[in-house]
Amino acid sequence: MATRICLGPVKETRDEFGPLETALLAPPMAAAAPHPNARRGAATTRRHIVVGISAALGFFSFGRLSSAAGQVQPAAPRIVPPPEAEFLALSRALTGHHDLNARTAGRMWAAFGRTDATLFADFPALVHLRRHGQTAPELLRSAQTAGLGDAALAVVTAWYTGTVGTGAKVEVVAYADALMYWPTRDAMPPPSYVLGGPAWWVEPPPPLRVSSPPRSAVSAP
Amino acid sequence: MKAPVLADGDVAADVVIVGAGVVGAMIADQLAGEGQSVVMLDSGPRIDRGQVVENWRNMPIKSRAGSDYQGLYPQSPFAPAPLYFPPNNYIALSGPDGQSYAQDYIRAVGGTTWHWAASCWRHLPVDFRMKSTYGVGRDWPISYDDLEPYYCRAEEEMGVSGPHDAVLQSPSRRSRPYPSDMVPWGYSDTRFAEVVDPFGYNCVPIPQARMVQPWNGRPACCGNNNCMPVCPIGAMYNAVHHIQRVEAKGVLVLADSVVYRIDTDANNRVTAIHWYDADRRTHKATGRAFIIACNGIETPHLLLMAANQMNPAGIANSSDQVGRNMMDHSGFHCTFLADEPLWFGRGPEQTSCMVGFRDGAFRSEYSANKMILYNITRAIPATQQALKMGLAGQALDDEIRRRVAFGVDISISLEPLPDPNNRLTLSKTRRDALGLACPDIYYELGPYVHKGYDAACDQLRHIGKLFNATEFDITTKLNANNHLMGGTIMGSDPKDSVVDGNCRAHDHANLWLPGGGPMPSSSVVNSTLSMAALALKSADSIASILRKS
Repeated sequence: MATRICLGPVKETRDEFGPLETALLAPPMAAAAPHPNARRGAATTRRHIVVGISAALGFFSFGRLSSAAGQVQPAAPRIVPPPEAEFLALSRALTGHHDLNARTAGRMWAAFGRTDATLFADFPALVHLRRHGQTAPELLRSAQTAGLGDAALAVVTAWYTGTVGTGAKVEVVAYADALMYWPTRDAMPPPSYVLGGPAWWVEPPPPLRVSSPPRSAVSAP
Repeated sequence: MKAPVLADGDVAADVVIVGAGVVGAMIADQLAGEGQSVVMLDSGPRIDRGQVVENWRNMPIKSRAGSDYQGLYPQSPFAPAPLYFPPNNYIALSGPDGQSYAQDYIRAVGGTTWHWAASCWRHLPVDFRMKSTYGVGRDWPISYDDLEPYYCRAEEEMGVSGPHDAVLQSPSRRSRPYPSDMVPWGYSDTRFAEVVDPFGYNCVPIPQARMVQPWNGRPACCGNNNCMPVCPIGAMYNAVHHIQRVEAKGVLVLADSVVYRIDTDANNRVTAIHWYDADRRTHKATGRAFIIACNGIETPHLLLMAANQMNPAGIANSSDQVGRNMMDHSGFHCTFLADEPLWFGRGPEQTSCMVGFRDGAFRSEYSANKMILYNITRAIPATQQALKMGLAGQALDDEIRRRVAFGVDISISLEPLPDPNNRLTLSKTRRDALGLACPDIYYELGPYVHKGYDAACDQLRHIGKLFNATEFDITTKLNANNHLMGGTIMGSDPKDSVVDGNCRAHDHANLWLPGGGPMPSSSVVNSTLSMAALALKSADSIASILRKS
C-alpha cells in the first residue's frame, strides 16, 4: 500500500535535456520555484545536472545567484545565444510575468521549432516589436497590428497551458509551472500537488482581489 | 491458508476469481481468510502509481481538459479498454444514445478504482422495489434490509467517511455508523448548501472512501484535487489495497492473463477456465468455485465469448439476458458564474451533492436525479475561456482568478431503467489482438430518462437564479458515468434473469457473477458500494457452500 505522505510530487517530472535545450539553458531563475512544497529538492538536483552538463560543454561562465530563499547558489550556467535567448525576454514581455523559468523557455522554444514551423518563423519579428516599458497588452496589440497576433497568442497560450502544438504534434513543457495555476495558487494547488495538510480546505478561502463577473452581455438562466 | 497449486503453468485452487478489481479483491480477502486457496487472474498489467501520476502531468492540455482518464494508464496489448484521445474503437456503440455509453474503465490489477472518485453511496430502500412502488423497471429479489449488513461491511472494508448526523445521510436507515465522520466541508459546500437548501435541494456530504486521518495503513487525504484520474498519495481507496492484503495471505494474483474459455461438465458445473498469458501461451485453472468479476461490460463479454457445446448462447445465458439491460447513469453538466465567490476546487474532487430529487412519486413517470457539486479546480476551463478573450498580462491573470473563484460545475446523474434492448453483443467483424471478438453495444434512452432531463433542467435554472448566474449553460448531450450495471441481471426467475440474490448463476451451481452486472435498478448513485456489498454477500454464500462440500 502506498503510504507516502503528500509533501510534493511522487516523482520528478520530465527532466530530459536535449542538446538544444541544454544549449539554451540560462541562469536558474531565482523566483521560479513556483509552488509551495513542490520541487525544492529536485530543483537543486537539476541545477547540479545542468552545471555538470554545461561544464562539460564549456558553454558558460560561472556567476553567483540568489535563490528565492535567499541562499547563495555556488554556480550557474550563462549563455548568450541569440535569437533563442530573446525568447525568454519576449515571453516575459508578452505575459507580464518577469519570473518565468529559463529552462522552461528553452523547452518551449525547442518545442515550437519542432511542432509549428510557421509560428516559429514569426518569432524573430515578434522579438523586434518589443519596446522598453511596454505592457503585455500593448505588446500583444502591437503584434496583432503587425500581423503577428497568432504567434504572440501562441506564446501566451503555451506559457499558460504548458502545452505547445496540437494534435499529433503536441508537446508538454510545463505542468505545475504552467501560468494557469498561478493566479489561484494561494487558494488551491495544481491538481496532484498539495497546498496544506489533511483537511486544509476547511480554512476560509483567500481574499478575492478581483472584481465580480460583469452582469451584461451574458446568458442568464 | 492453502496455497494454489501450480503445475506446468496451470493452476488448481479452491476458488478461481477472474478480475482483480474491487469486487474480486474483496471476495478473495474473505475466502482466503476462511482458509480457502485462491487464485486471481486479471487481463491487464500491474500499475505503478508514481508513473501514472507523471503520465497525467505530461498529458497535453486538450486531453486533461477533456477528462481523458484512460490514456495515462498502461494497457496490455492483449486486453484493450476504450481510449478516446484518439478513439481506439474497442467497443462499437450504436443506437440513438450509443454515444452516451462511451465508458471509461481500466483493465489492470486494481481495476477502475484507480480512477474513481471514491463516492460510496447506498441505494435507497425503495430503489430495490421500483416495480412494486412506481410501476417501472424491476424489483430486486432481495431487499435493502437483506443487503444492509453488507453495506456496513463494505464501508468498513473500504474505510468510508460519511456523515454521522442522520439528517445528512441518504438513506439514514443503517445499523452501524460510518467508520469515520464525513469529510469536512469547505466554504464552497457550506455556502452553496445555505443558498439552495431552503428550496428542497438537500445538499448532503458524499460518503467517500477516504479519510482526513490515516486509516489502516492509508495516509490522510491532503486534498490534492486529483482523485480522477489518480490519487497521487494513495489516500483514496483502491482495490490494490485489498490486493496487497490478499497476496500477503497467500492468494496468487496473475496479471496479464486474459480468460477466454470456460469449461462445464454434464451437470453444467464449471470445471475450469482457460487464459492466455503475456506470451500468448494458454493455461488452465481448475477449482471448486468460480467468480467472474471483470466489470459490467467485460463480464457479459466473457460469458458470451465463452459459449460452449452445452451453453451455445453463452455461459449462464439460458435466459438470453446476458449482455442485456445495460445501464449507466446518464449524465450532463450545468456550469455558470455565481454572483459571489464560492471557490470550488479546494479539497478532494467530490464532497457534496444535492439529493432533493433522489426520490419522489414522480419516479413513476420520469427519472430521479442527483446533482454533484464538482469540486475539481476550474483552472483549465477558466484559462481556456480567458485566453479566448484575447487578454494578456494582469488582465488575463485576473480573469482566470475571477472564473475560478465564481465558477460552478454541477454534474447531474439520471436513472435509466433496465431495458433488454440495450444490449452488448459480440462483434462479427472486429477482433482484438488475440483474435477474440470485441464488444458491440446498442443503447437507447427512452422518454423516462429524457423527461427526467427536462425536470432536472428546470431545477438547475432555478438554482442558477438563486445565484444570479451568468454564462449559464446546460449540456444537451448525455455523457457516460462509467457506472456499469445490468448486463448479468439478478432475479428470482431463471427464465428472465441471470443470477440469484447471491449473484450465483442460475445455470451453474458453482459460478458467481457479482458486481454491477446483477443490479436490477441503477438508482442515481454511483454503483461501487452496492457492487462491493454484493461481493461480500456472494463471498458469504460461496464460503457457506465450500464449507459444506
